[in-house]
Amino acid sequence: MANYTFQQANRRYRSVFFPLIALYVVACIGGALLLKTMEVPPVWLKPVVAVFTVAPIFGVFWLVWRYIQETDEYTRLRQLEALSIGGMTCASATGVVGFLELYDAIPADAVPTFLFLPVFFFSWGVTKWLRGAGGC
Amino acid sequence: MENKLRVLRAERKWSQAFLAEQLGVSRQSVNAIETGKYDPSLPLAFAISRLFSQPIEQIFQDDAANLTEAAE
Repeated sequence: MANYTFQQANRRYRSVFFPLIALYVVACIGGALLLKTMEVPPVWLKPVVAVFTVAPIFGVFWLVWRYIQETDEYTRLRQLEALSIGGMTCASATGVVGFLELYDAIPADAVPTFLFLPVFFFSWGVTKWLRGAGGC
Repeated sequence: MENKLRVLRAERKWSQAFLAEQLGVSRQSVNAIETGKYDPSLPLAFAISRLFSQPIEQIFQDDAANLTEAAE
C-alpha cells in the first residue's frame, strides 16, 4: 500500500477526478456534435468516438483503485464493501433484464445497455451513503 | 475488542478530527475504533500507542484474554 494519509489520498483523488469528469462531459458533447456534423460518418468513426467517450470513465476506475490503495484501512474496507454491493446490484440488474429480454417479457431494446454504468455508480454511491463510508 | 481511545482523547481535549489528522486516518475511522465497530490493524494500533505513549495492551483490551483471566 502507498504511504499516504487519508487526507492526502483524498486530495490526490479529487485533483484527478474532477478533470476526468470534465473530460467526460466534453467527450459526450463533442462526440455527439462531431457525429451530427457529418451526414454519413465513416464506419470506423463511431466506435472510435464511443471508446474515447468512455475512456475518462476507465480513468475514474483506475483512480478509484489508486484511492483504495492509498486511503486508510477503515475507509478502504468501507469503500470495497460499497463497491462490492454496487457491483452485485448492477450484475443482478443486468441478469434480470437479460432474462426478461430472453423470454420476451420486455422488448430487446427496452433498457439501453449504457444505463448499467450509471446504475453501478448509483448503487455504489447509495451503499456508501447508507453505510456511512468516509472519503471520496 | 474494547479500548480506551475515547478516554485518552478526552483527557487531552482532542476532537476526533484532530486525532484522525494526527494518525493520518479519517474521522470515521477514529469513531469506528472508539465505538468498537472496527478493530485497527497492528500498524495503526502501534501508531495510536506511540501517539499516546502507552503500550498497546493498555489501550486495547483483548476480550478473549479477559475472559480467560476471569475463568482462572
